[in-house]
Amino acid sequence: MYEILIQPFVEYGFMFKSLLGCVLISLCAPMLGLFLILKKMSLTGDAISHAILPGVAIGYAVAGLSVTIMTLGGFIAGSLVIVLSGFVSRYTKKGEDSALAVFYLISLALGILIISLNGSNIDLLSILFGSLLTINDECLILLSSITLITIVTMLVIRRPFIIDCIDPDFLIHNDINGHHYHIIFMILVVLNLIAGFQTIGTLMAVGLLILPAAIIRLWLNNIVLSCLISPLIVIISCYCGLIASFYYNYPTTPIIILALGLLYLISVFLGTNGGILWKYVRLKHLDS
Amino acid sequence: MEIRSIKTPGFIKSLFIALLTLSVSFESKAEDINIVTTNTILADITSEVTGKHAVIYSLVGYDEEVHAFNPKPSDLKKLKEADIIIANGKNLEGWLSRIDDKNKIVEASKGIKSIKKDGYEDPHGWNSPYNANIYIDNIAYAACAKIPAYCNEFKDNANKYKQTFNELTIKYKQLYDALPQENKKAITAHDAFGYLARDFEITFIPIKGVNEETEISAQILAQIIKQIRESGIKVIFIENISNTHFAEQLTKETSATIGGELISDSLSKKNSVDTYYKMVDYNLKTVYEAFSSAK
Repeated sequence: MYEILIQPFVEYGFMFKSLLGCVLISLCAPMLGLFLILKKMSLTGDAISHAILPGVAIGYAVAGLSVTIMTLGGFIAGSLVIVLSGFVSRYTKKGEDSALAVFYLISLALGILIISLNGSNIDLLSILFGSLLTINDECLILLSSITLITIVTMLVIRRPFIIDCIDPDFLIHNDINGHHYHIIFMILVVLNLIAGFQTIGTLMAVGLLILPAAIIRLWLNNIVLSCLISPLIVIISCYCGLIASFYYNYPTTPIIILALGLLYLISVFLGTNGGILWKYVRLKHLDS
Repeated sequence: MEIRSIKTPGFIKSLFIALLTLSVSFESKAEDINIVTTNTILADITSEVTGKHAVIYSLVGYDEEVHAFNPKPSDLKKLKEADIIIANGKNLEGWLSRIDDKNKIVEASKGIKSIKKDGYEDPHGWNSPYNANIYIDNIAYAACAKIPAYCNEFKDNANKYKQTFNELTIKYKQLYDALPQENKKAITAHDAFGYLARDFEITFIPIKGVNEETEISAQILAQIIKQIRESGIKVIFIENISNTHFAEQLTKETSATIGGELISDSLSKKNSVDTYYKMVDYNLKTVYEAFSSAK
């Protein structure tokens, strides 16, 4: 058993590093996902992950496959899109989601344009699907920094931020600008999406935020417990992805997301906090 | 020119114009032909063969990815205007099957003794100098067919050019034959050097297959690491067109080191390996030096 399940990570450094990268992301991404779901912004997260592409593309054009520069570029692009769509929606009063959709599409198109103008040299696949298997030390340092920043920031702003999510008027009455906390939160989301793009690629980076959160929501109502347990969901899925890639030659990224998807489907039926099965079981009980 | 009778005054004028035109055409060349090649390697061979009689344009540029190329509208326009299209063939340019004017396409690799892998023919014929002669001949033949007037010149250029490669081949074959067999193995970034391996009795183990695009899995990476550890491979070669993360990871996990950067599918501005001859020479030299200094 040990040989099949643990040995690969001991024998091959890259397997261990990949798993470590996944663990680092798993500590903070689902927590942000929980709040995205709470604020009904799950697909917004998806839009933003596509928005970071031109930043990464410019970073690549400037400095090649340098993790730091591409991260910086992606961060600037993502933050710019969020701020711009915030401004536009506030001043034209036409809704943040349509503004965001426009800006993320502009951003994505720019990214593709820059990539194609730069000649057919870019390793596009690794940007779209991540390069989990070849995570290097620079990347791991980046991931740990992002994890640390996210956890500390969320701990610091948790009270006003949560109130802003549920009852923004309360903050207004108390002369506190809740919108600031919203912006801080969105910046954390961008940071985590950038971390996600290194491991799993821009296409599915948001999956590491939203899917585990959606899964845990079907089992627990307590947010603290959810934040503590959801990392395990991500770690299990990433582990499955790495093992499947190791033994069956599958690419890692889709397996990770499919594993999460499968857990979600199971939770939809069996989840203790709203799973479909329990509705029927309870009904029968009430009948008699 | 209007036809007039000899007796009309316009005759002298017309005669004058005719003589002028005739004298000018004696001095000018037949019109230059327009050649489009699919990569810089073929462009370089073509320019050596055709000299100044052709205007050559390469679709894929220096240090660019050949396998994943997709033609833009401006490329298609150039293909339409070309008199000859020189492609490698053997499915390197899969997108060529979608264009019109297929009769303009010249398959530069036609006639090489090809290597078959998993049902595919390995297209990277150019990487072995033994195949250079065939490429040069195919291109010279096509150029001759298009402008027979300069055929002798083309054949001359081709022969001189082939001679340089023959000399290169002899020089390096001697050097490589003198190396012990267990030194002559290495990892390469993608399966671009199969012909070099066959012709110089080297073992190259590629990380990615014949096509640069396929995404790698943990199993393949683990297999390569295992193979390096077990067969004592000491040298890893990176390439000018691919990303080096895999190679770096391999050096961390095994005792192998990076033996140098090879130029595989595209000529390079980086190492000033900007002609085909320089490229083959550079590759053979780099590989030889890495093999002879290992251990």
